[in-house]
Amino acid sequence: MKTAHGFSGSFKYEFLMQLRRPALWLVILVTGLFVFGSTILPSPLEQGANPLHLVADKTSTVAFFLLATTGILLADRSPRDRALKTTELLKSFPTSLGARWWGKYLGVTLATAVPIALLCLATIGYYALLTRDMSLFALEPLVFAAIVLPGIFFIGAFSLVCTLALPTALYSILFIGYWVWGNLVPPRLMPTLNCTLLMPSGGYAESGFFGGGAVCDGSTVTATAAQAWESILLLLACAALAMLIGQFYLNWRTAKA
Amino acid sequence: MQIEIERLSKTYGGNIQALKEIDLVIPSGMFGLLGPNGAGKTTLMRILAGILRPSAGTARVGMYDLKTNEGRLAVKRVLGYLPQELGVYPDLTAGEFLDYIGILKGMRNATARHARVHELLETVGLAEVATRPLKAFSGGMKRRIGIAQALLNDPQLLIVDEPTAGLDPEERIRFRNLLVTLAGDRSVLLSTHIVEDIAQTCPRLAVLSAGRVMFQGETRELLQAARGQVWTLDTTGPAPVGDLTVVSALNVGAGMRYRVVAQERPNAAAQQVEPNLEDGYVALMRRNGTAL
Repeated sequence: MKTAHGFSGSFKYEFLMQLRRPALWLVILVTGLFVFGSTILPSPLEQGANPLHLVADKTSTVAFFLLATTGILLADRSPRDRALKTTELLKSFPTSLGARWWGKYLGVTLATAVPIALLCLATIGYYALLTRDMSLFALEPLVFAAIVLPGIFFIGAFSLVCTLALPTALYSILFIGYWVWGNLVPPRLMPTLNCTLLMPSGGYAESGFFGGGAVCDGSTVTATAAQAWESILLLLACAALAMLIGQFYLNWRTAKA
Repeated sequence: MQIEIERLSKTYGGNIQALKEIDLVIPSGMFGLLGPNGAGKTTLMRILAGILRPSAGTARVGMYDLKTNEGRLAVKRVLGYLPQELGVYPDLTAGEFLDYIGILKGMRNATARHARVHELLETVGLAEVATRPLKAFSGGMKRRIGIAQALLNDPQLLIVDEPTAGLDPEERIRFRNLLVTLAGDRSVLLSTHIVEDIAQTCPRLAVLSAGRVMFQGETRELLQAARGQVWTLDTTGPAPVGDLTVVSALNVGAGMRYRVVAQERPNAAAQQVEPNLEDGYVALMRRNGTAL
């Protein structure tokens, strides 16, 4: 219970602090406007399209670009306590390091998901107006949770863990490289995570659950619902594993002091 | 809550010895810790706060052994700690920051926690700016937030490192009085470079230098260390030189008045005066060969 209390406090205030960051809103808004102007507005509305397919396709398109900014927006969260000189104070409290670590992870990751969710919702709002079908709104939370959230948790975990050892700026550059390699480089060019179950942009969930599918190496990903579940669980398991390694590293560092 | 330290050592990176087999007994009440930079004061306080582990020796706070995980956790539950460099979260308001700290300190009852936060904001004179983000706070205001967070859980052991740095004279006096009021059956460990703060608040103190305890005992005993060695001399010429330490220099009309600590009368015009705690500290450091 004590651990849960410390976790909830850390979650609440890390969530608030990330949500109040002007950079979070600015970066997501600018990226969102770019995506809207370059991808959403120019593409014609497919008449008689399946609403679920439409919502999944548009959410996936918007989120693909926004997810690319997530790693950078989360990169400063781990080193932040040290930079603000709050580490010594935090270490003097009885709340366990694990409770603070996991609370921070879920808090900052979900806070980062908020503006992304709002932009996805705005995009769906645009299509709801075009199609005069307000039921599209009701589909969006489910689609967002299946396609976008696992990727955010995956990226969030690695952003928090990697920056325990890497400088923020270096990690941000490496993250952009990873994003291009893991999501855009075709597998026939070099070994890549692109087109695999570990693709964080949610292509398998989109295809397996909603019948659409991200374009991958020239063709559309076609996945079953089981593969979609596999992809989601694999992404979340990798995130959890990374977080556990991070926790182990922090505990080791504390024990060494 | 008595603190007992025996042959305590702390070595960093295998070869930097910050504390060298120190023995110290800190009784309940106010206790001062004096020493030059690099003396090991902060290391000692971090060990007592459960942040660092001792390399050798023992340290007990009450019945809790700081060499064990359980002991350190138990101490953290009854601890109030104000580090020298206190960081805050600039995006949180003063009230939110204290509430967050309260949660991390294990204060689970939200109503009681909020009431305590409000009470302490009143105590440190920040109640009116409780909803203002901390990024808008001055250095002195952040220091007062630091003091408030240390007191949140009504600690049995209060460890404060340079608590009055950045406070104006009135705030300093108010905080000193607050510390004295808080002491009693609890231990308050005050580390500071401001000798006056210790002189005004601590009946007992220890002086650390180069990782060793140079002195521990009553504050007035340290004063005795300088008895017969403190002089004032007025001169219009150059500053006094020789085997002495100038404690202060005051411009008086056409000349200067120096207050010095020296074994021998510096010159025929020098007047012997009563020592204060600063003189005692300087005399102790001279005796132990620590240059000032």
